[in-house]
Amino acid sequence: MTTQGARRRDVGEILEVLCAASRRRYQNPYTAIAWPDALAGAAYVYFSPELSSLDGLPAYTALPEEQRRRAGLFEIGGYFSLTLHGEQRLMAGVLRLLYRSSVRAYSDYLHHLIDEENKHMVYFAEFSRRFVGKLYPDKHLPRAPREGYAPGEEELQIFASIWIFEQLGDYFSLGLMRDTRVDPIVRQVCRLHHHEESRHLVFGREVVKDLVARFGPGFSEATRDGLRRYLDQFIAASWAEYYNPDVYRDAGLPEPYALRKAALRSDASRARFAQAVGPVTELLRELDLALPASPPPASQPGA
Amino acid sequence: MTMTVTRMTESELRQALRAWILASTAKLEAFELTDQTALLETQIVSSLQLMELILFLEETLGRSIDVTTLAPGAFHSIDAITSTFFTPTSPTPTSPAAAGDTSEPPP
Repeated sequence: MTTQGARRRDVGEILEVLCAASRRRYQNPYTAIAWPDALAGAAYVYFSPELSSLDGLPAYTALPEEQRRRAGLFEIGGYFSLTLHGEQRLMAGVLRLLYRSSVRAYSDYLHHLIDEENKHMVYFAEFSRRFVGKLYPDKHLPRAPREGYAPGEEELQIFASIWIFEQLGDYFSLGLMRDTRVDPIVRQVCRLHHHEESRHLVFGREVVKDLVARFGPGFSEATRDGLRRYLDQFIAASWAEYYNPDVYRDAGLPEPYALRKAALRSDASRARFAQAVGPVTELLRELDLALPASPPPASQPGA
Repeated sequence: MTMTVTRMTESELRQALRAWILASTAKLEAFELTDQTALLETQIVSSLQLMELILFLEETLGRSIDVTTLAPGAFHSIDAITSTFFTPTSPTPTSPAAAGDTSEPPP
């Protein structure tokens, strides 16, 4: 058996395990959470202070306790909204690929992925509308269709983007889920999200490796370089979404756009970014899909 | 989209856009960028940079942008961005119309 054949079988076995786990732990999103009429109250925060995009900024730490707590409500609304919009965009890509021959081996699990991401969107939308009073709007435009992909390039771009987006999101869901200071309903939403995301992350990692093994040898250097650049920008753009001026405005903070730039450049933000993105950069480097020196997100214009 | 009048002139908006675009890319020199240069098709601005451009426009214009209402091509070029987002400066506050005074001027 060839190395490629062995890898294909490995991926197949992993996908079977993931499918079985999804079926065994199947959740009804309309009964999984007993939504309370109100959040638990002043004994809890809504967002872990150390995970706040504003952590470390004097404008944030100087706020009275109650205003900081209230800012946390808008931050969790911002986090759930951006995750909902991101999952919606990424699932559009999965639906386009669902039964494409190049990814047919993944199709059974893709049905679970789509189903579980839909459930997350139900939880995020319900929480945001019920307790924040709105979903924060998406600031992304639909991507214009592109032609001329090399074989496997579009598939790799889409599955690597999903894996990266979920890896960043899971950094927050895992942290919030574990933080006993955080409101119980926020923790429950994050727990449901994390438990399914942990399977999606295994899937994403294996599929990215599988696609690189199958199609990578046929990529020209220009294709590979385009992928490196795209993924680097995708990481930076995804991270920058966590810094939302609409959230800061709702929290009553002055100059929300300037605050966003300061927050993106803060030492605390750089440290969080390094932690959140660590597993991604490690694998992308291993697969020769990382730029030699990725610029930090704050170096983008306007950031 | 929340429509609030900007105090920026059209020329200032074009200049601000030029500066933002040139800072965002190493793909072209200042003399190569015209108000008609195709930004997205040529990857001078990538689709992943559009969110930053939208936030830049919100800050510059002082109003929120609802991306769901934008027509395809809104970010095609500096000309297209300007025609989509620029709103002429309102009359000065001393003008009766600006103050909402619709009464007849004194004889």
